[in-house]
Amino acid sequence: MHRLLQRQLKKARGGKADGAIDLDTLLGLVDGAYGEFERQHRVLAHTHNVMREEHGQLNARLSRLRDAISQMGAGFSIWDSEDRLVLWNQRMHEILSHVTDDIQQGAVFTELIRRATPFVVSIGGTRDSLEWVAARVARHRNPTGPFEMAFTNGRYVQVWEEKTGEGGIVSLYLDITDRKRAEQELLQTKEAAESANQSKSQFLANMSHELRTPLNAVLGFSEVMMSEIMGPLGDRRYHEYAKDIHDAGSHLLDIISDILDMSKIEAGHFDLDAQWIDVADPVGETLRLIGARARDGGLTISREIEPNLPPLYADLRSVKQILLNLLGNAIKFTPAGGKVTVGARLLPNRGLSLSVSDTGLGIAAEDIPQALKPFGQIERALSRRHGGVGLGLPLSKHLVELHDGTLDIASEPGKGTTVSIYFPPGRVGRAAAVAS
Amino acid sequence: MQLEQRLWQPRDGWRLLNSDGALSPALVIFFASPGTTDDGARYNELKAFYPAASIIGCTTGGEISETDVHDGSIIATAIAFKHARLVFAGTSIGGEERNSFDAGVRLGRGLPRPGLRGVFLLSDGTQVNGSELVAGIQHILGPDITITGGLAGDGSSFVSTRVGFNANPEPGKLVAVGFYGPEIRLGYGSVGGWDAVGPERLVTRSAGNTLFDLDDLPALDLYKKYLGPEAANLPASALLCPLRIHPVGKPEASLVRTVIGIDEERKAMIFAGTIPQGHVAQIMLGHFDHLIAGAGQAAQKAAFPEAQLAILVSCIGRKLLMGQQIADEVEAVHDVLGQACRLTGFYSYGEIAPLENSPFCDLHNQTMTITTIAEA
Repeated sequence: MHRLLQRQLKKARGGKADGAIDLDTLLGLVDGAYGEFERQHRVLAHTHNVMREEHGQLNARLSRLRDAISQMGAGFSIWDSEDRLVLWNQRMHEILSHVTDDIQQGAVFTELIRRATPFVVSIGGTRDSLEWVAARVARHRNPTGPFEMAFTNGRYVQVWEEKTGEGGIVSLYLDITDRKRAEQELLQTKEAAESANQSKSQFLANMSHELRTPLNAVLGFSEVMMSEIMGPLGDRRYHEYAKDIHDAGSHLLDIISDILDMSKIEAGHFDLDAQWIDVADPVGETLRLIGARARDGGLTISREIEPNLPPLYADLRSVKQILLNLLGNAIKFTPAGGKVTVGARLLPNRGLSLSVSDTGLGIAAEDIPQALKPFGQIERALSRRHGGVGLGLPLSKHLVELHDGTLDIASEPGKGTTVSIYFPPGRVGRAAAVAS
Repeated sequence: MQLEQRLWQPRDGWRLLNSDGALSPALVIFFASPGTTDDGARYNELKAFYPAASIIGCTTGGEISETDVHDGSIIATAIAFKHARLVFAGTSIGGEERNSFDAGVRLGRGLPRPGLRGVFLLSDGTQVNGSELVAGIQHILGPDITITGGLAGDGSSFVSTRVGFNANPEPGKLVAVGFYGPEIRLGYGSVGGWDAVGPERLVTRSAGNTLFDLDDLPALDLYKKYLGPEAANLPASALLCPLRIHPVGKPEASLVRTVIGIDEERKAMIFAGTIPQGHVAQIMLGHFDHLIAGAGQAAQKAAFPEAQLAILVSCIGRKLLMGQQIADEVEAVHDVLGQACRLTGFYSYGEIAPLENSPFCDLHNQTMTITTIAEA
């Protein structure tokens, strides 16, 4: 007897083995079971249809996915949790075809990698093939981001790997050979350019030295002539000519010195001789040197140096050179009756600032970057009128930067210019400078 | 530990099923078909049988006695302990008190921690968030106390469930019994056996325990498609198709959720627990053999050789699907636990047991959950 009928009989007997069968109860239970079977059959038949429909939809999705994967520009593969190949596209086959002909369903990742070893240039710097296989497999199991592989046929492949929800790995292979070659070419071009620049600086340094030697003769002998040590020159005009030779020679020497410094900085050979200095010293010294030129040009010079400034750890010669350049420019570009101010102050962050302001021609904002480039003097007409080769500002900027500082230009055409240089707090002492 | 079991049926009234002899039980647990306890007469009869016992029980979606599954009956099990002590905690929910976590905290506070070995819990089945309730108890008792039990049922109506604690069962009641002493031994097992079928879908729109869209299509439409002719019996028929959810890429963290209501207007489904947006969802179907095997596995997890009593809390959804064949799962449990272990239990609106591989307890859906008890 079917166990269901046995149970129904038991219930119809009221649970007692020898109880009388209640026919109504039995019929009710049997009828109920028929109804349940019918209902269960309906549910099952319906479920069968739903499953068939869902199966069809899944197949359609799968075939769309396969189409998408086969159309990808990148190589694509999926490995199951046992690291066996389950899905891949033609592009993956193409990219790795020279490495292995074992790309097939169920291929084991570690074996493919082992066989690929002779065709791989290097990964992670190791050339040991066992080590390489171990590293590659470890990376495959725990992906840490994209990496590149170089093959012996000269091609480069970028590999992306990610874990899948089922504990497998999905891999993308991108042939980046063209990009790699372009990068290498770019690198070579850059190296060539840098090398050319280096040669230029070296050439300038050599040339400056060679030029300076004969100039010493020019300057020395013109001075001898001017002072008429060996007797009068005779005609007064000879004396003036000798002075012209000396002035022109001095100017030339300045230019050559600037060029030499510039090339040393660009070649990375400029060494600072830093020491604790009181900034009032280079300011005073520079003003003494340049004061006469200012007075000749009909300019007023004023000093605005804060009292009790702390000492600055800097190369004294560079600071003087910067101030000379900036003051020289200010005097050069400020018409008679104007005013030039030299300032120095302690900043709230305990950095130190030096500034040179004038009431001169000024520079348009768009021209400032040009003024900071070597030989970038603004407007040829201006330079013809005022002389100079345009090395002062860029050289000063470089010198300030060698001190970890910055150089800023604030200017308005017709109103004047303020050039400020900042030294960082690390170069500024705690106590006020001892008066020297 | 001594046992006595009685079955009440409308035709014959109370009938003694088995007895270990004259005993004075400390605890009587009864499971009653909805409507059988309304007049209070059955409770008074039980009280007369066992005047000294604490009596707890609830309404059901079907009663389990021996290897039979009944409808319209009451199964009562009286337990006399030799050594073990019991502590009871009761509380109510509903009206102003809607917070299930707080109800759990109140129950937990009623059970002193020293010597406590385990907790069996019966709760109202329609006004309580089972997960919150269990979390509330564990908040007080800690994770190392095993909590098992279930939510009361109301046949397949889902309207009103009742729980009683030394009183005739009423809606909105909860009772927890704590077992104390080194001699008490408890076991548990909880297994579903449902099969996730069909494609995995993404929960594209949900809020709390309301699911709106799967793969951007209304969830209710999908359920109606799956249920076909059974769609007319929603929401009860949705128990035929539980939903398995898990975070993307983490199938090992799967949970089974049961539908407890539908919203035709918004084409949404309301579940017994949270359905997080962005989770992967898969509809489940019941294969009779697999559900029966699941019940057997639950028994294996709960089994220990001396087990004397097994309280089976099985999901109403399993019974709705299997009809009269549902007794097969009880027989499967009986086959594992053996003749010496008495069975009782009921079909519930939610089963309570520890989570798989975790000390934390939670509300389960669609499982066979078994608590085994013995005294050394």
